[in-house]
Amino acid sequence: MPGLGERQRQYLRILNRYIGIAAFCAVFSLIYNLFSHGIHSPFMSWLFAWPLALGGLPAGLAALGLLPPADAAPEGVKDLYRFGIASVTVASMLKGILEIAGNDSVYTTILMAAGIVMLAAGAVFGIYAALTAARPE
Amino acid sequence: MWNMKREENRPEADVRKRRRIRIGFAVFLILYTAFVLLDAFVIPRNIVRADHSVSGLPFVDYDPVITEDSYEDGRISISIRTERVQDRTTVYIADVRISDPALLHAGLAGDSFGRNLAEVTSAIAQRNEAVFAINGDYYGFREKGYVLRNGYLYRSVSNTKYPYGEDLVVWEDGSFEIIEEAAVTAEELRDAGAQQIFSFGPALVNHGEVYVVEGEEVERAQITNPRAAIGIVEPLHYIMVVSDGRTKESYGLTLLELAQLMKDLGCETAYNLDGGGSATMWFNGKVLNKPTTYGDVIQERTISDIVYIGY
Repeated sequence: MPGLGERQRQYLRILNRYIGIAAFCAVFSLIYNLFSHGIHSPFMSWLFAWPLALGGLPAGLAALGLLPPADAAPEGVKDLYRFGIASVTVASMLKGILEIAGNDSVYTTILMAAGIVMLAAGAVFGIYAALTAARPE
Repeated sequence: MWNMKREENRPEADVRKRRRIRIGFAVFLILYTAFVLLDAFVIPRNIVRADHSVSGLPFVDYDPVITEDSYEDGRISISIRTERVQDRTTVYIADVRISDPALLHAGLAGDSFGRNLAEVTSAIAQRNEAVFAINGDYYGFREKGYVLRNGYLYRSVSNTKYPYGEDLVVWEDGSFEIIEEAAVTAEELRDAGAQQIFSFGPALVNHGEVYVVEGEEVERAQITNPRAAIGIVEPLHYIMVVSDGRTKESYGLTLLELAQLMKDLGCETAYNLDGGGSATMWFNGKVLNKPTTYGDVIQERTISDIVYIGY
């Protein structure tokens, strides 16, 4: 892509990856809803929104220069954030499956809570690392 | 030299370590997902043997007269008919009269209470030598909601999430009452003489009026599905209804349609039991309706419990 810097191209690749995951989630919930006899769950219907909002949106904003780049954050912190996205997405899928079946499980809530904690920790440490790296010497 | 080599290898070692952590987390998520699904749908637990079931009356006095759609023995009178509702749904209606409230029972899968314990309606009915049976509220599929069967309290954890939390209580004299779990504890109901508490819902008819209002019809209530319901017309006179659904021959009923049907059949109180693939009516050794399992396969589904008439 001519005219784009390496950093922008990197974030666009991340954005594309999350769009792909969101598309997979959308197809999954669409097929699941086809066989759920008209019973729906917002956790299933909006499954695609988690990777899109938590992964795609920050990557898109970073590509546009509206968010500080996360390059300075250690890989462990980035992984923590990615694991958070994966956890809340899987928890949402499980909550959707159980809700449609009229069932419930405390373990989905535990996974959702753990995912939110990982997301928050990853975001806080990531922003801290970005701000520290941007500080003039 | 050694230090230089270690420096060169460090990024590669870090990449491998990170890859292992990522793979490890992915494996954890897969295993966690499998565990949650098995725990919710498969693994039996919290099992309580139902040895304390209340026995009914001795069957000694009468010779029953049994036809394809009726039963009469002087103490139990059952008449079953099939109707089409709105020319699109087949409904099986059982008019049941009993001389003693002890003839109305609940039967449990494997004669035990427990999460994910399940058996088909016909098997539970035959083991209990039932005359007539329909499916119950499938309590074993949920963690919450009062479960009291044949006078014994198995679960007292309340569930206030719609459509749950609105229970049907069958009292010692065979009368029905709709209660809110938020307003009364299961122990209070047991001590007051409740014989059965069903916690699926919602209530369909209460005090002779349709109890499902349009504004309440959210999510599952709007859907036409196979349904099962129980109602009372007058003391010891009950109506039990099962509708087929999810097939080309029979579309299914909404909760509002089912409530209207129960009211039209004269019910003072009527309650929605578990529907979908669970909805089953059994009489004289046969399943009368066409229960749908795993979508539109006509086959009995395993459930937790039944309501039956018998000795």
